[in-house]
Amino acid sequence: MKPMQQAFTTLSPSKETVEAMAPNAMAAWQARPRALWREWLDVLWAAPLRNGAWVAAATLVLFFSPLGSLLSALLSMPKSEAMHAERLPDRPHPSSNSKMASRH
Amino acid sequence: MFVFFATFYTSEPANNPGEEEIQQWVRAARVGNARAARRLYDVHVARVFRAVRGLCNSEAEAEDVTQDTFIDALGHLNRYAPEKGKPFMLWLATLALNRARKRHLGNKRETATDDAQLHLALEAKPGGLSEEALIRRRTLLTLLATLPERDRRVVSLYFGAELSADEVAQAVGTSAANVRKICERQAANLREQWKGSEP
Repeated sequence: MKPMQQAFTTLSPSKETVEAMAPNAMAAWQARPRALWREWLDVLWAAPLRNGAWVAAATLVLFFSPLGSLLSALLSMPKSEAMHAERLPDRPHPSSNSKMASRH
Repeated sequence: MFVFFATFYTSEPANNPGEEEIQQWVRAARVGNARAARRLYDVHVARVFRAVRGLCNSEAEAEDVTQDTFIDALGHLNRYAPEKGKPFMLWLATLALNRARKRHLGNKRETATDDAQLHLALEAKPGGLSEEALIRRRTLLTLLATLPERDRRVVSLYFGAELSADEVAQAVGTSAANVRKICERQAANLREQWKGSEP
């Protein structure tokens, strides 16, 4: 069988041939279909434990960032309302003005 | 972010990578690692070329088939589903085999005779080969051209693509014992032809 294996090595492509084919092959790789959900799955599939932790962390950040800002906005709202309410007595109430006018 | 993940899988390339390492490159190439994709090409291109050379009429045709195989494979890496006992090379070899068959069927309609094509193929002298290697190459191409289609595929995959008998059997649709029998018979044939071609 060995002579056959040696004979087949003579059919190997030249370096020039290999280099000539490479750009087209790599261009096809660059243009491969890339769906976002599939890339996420592939990332998980590549190293389930390590990437799973990263993906979970990224998902938590992505999911809770808008929720967190909403929550913080809600929490800060009563404070600002209270501050607003504290300032109110400084201003004359429109109804009290009308009462004064009626007295006069 | 994906490029960030992909950089995890960039290690120094091994001279003779195992299937586990190749699978790691496949996964890395899928998530955008260009170096892993290039390594997959570099490691497999000669084996694919040798496998299809005997199935094609000329060096240029083998080049086209090999290039199309890699365009198909690297462009659709997500279609590859790894299975136990089915290495990445087997998937590539199956793609190459189908490409070569389609091409061969197309060419049969276009060319006058296979003999004329074989003559052209034998005339071509790739650079960098010694006189002895050229004789071996010529004898091998002549032998392959005379083989029945199935035997030619078996021999090309076993010796050219360096697949095991079980893997060749899966690709061609026969038994591993039959693959070994065909390969032994054709190796003996080649030895006899060499004896005949010696001055």
